[in-house]
Formats: sequence, structure tokens, C-alpha cells
Amino acid sequence: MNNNFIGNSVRFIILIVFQILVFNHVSLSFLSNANPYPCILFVLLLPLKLDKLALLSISFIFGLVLDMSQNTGGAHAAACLVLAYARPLILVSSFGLSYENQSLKFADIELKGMIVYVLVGTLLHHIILFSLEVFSWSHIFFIIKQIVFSALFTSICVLLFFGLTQKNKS
Amino acid sequence: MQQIINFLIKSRNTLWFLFLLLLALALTVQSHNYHSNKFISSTNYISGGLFNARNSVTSYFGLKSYNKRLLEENTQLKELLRAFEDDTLRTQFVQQKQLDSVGFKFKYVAAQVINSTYHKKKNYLTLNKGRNDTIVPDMGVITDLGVVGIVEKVSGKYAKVISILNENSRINAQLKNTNHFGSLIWNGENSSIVQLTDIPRLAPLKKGDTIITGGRSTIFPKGVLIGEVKDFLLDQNQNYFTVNVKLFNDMTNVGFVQVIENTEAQKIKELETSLDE
Repeated sequence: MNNNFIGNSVRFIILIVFQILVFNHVSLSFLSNANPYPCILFVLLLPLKLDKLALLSISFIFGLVLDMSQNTGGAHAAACLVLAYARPLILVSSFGLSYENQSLKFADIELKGMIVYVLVGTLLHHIILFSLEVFSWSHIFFIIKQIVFSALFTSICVLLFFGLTQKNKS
Repeated sequence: MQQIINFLIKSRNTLWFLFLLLLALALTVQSHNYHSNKFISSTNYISGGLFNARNSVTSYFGLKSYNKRLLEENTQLKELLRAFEDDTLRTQFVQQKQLDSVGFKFKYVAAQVINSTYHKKKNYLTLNKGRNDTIVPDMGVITDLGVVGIVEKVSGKYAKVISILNENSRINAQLKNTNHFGSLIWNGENSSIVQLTDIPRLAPLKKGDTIITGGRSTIFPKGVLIGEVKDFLLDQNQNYFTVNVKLFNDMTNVGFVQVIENTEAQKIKELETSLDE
């Protein structure tokens, strides 16, 4: 438990610092300035057995800190909050039984489930984030473009991270 | 009663979720209104410190080009000063210190941009100077090449600037050759092109004409450069031009800026409010 707490706190700080210092300045100009938000890794990786109230509160605060750095009001907070709330549902649909009987561990996970989990989570997060950030019907086409490209970009970043940190089974 | 409490306990997760969501939505809606984003902004200690740390490294990369720009600006200013000295009438004017009553309305504070965005629909910049350096909201921000934005919020050490690349931004601007004026807005599409609206149909427009600030507000002095006319077309009523203006400033790379303080802004505002009543 204690170990878990320290690990997650460190991840909180590192992901925020990296998001602000590095990833906010990465934008692919050929994909309509798509921006990656690998910081959602924090919400995706919060302990599975964490109390639901704590999960929601922590995700909200995480989003709020991002909002402070990007002048987006509460867009990040809302997006992280929705992602945290919907997380059990996404987990069930991507891992099925192994999540329900609580034998799931992020350290050793099958690739297929992981990809589904990350893709669905990222897409949900980005839909909320970009609709609230732009917040205008007249830019609906722009919003959709941003969601699609950024979600792709973010998912690749997050999956790469998983690939690099996962322990080698062989 | 028991049932209500039971319900509250059972669905406390959802209720807590709804409460936080409402809070986040309220903050979001509020952030989209000009001048009402009070709580969540980049002028706080944490993000300001992070931006500063990043900037202390990255600011070295642009030094060469900034030096060149500084040199060019210096040359220009020297030429201007030369012309000023040759103009004997004006020199006398200065010597008699009569300029005090006409000019010197504006003071400049140099600052550095420590964070900026340009690919969103509502872009902001963060400066490393704040209230401690006499910066207050509604001051204009410029570089040697042209207008950058308007200060929206300040804390002790940092200031948040609403960029001209922001759909909420509205700046009074005019043609350099004639006095036809309109307001400068941004349609959110290209980070080097802004729109000047409400220019009357009679105005003699040409491609390449210079656009400057109009001086009809207390924010910018008259004559600060903005950009040049790229193209223009009549609006639906056929009465006014909408002009695409190519900015002189490269908004993707703003390093050092000057914040303009209008020493008479307070007096002008007081007068205007007293007239409204």
C-alpha cells in the first residue's frame, strides 16, 4: 500500500512536469497541430482496488493542475474526472473476467486488452477535453479533427510507454 | 428518512462525480468569458515556476536572432533620433519642455514570454513580470515588430496575456494611410493572419497597406504596427470590408516583449464612467 502510494505520487509529479515542459510544446503541424496528452497515463494506471471516491478526487485534482498551466478553465479536470468515472466500465469491456475476479495486474497484461483499454480511454478523455476547450459549435469540424489525431498520437505514446516498462516475460 | 440516507450512501460515488463535474463545467464556462477567469490561470506559483525553469534553458537558443533584431531596432531608433534632431522646430519644442503636456503618456516595461500557445482557438501567453513590476490588467503588450496582446490577469510575479490569436480578443486598429478604423479579431484559422472588420467601403484599400493600432482606446498608443493587408472582401451587406491582415510578428516565436502602461488610463476611465451615469 505504502509503496503504491509513493509510486503514484511520483507518477503524478513526473507526468505533470513532462506534460508542461515537453508534450505541450509538441504539435504535429501536418496533422492539424495534434497535441499528445500522455498525462492520462496517471488516471489509467491508478491502483485498481482504489476507493472510488478517492479515485474521482485524485483525478479531478490532477486535471485541475493541468488546467492551471494551460489556461483551459476546467476542461482537463472534467476530462480526467469522466475518464476516472468510466474506468471500471472500460476495464470490464477490455479485460472481461480477469478484471471482475480481481486477478488483473497492470504489470503483466495481454497486449490486446491493453490496446483496447488505452484507445477507448484516450478517445473518451479527448472527446471531453477538446469539446470543452474549444467550446463552440462553429468549430465542430476542428474539434473532431483534433480528437481523432490527438487520440491516435496520445495512444501511441501511452502504448510505447507500456511496451518499454513492461517486464519481459521470457 | 432512513431511505434517503441509504440512497445517499449507496450512490455517493455518482453524486460526488456529478458535483465535481459541475464544478469543472462551471470553471470551463467561466474561462470562456473575457475578463472573468478568476480562479484557474497560469499566473500561479507552480506553473509559473515550471515555465521559468524551462525558459531559463530554452531562451538561449534564440539569442542570435534576438540580437540581430535588437541591432536592427537600435539602428532604426538612431535614425529616428537623427531626424528628430535635424528638425529644429521640434528640438526647440523639446527644449522648452512643452512636450510634457502632450506626450510621455506611455511608459514601457520590458518582460519575457515564458509560455505561449498559438495552435488553439483561445491562445494565451504568460509573462515573467507581474504586479510587483507595476503591471496591471488591460495593459497592451508589443514587440518591436508589432502588437502581441493585452494583459488579462496578474499575480505578484506573473502576468497572463490574452494573445491577438484569441477569439475573445478585440483591438482597435486602422489603416496607416487614411484614418479609417475597425476592430481586429481572429477567426481561429491561421496563426499568422488576423481579420480587420468594419472598414467602410469607401476606404481606399490596397494589397500591402500597413495596418496600425488606432489609439481610440487607453490600451495601445496610436501607430503601433500590426501587419499588412493580404486580401480583403466585402461582407454580406456590401457595406464593410473584412480585411485579412498578415502579422509582422511571428506569433509562434515571441521572446521579449514590452508592456505599455498608459499613465492616464485611470483618469480617462473615470471620465468615461462619469459620463455614462
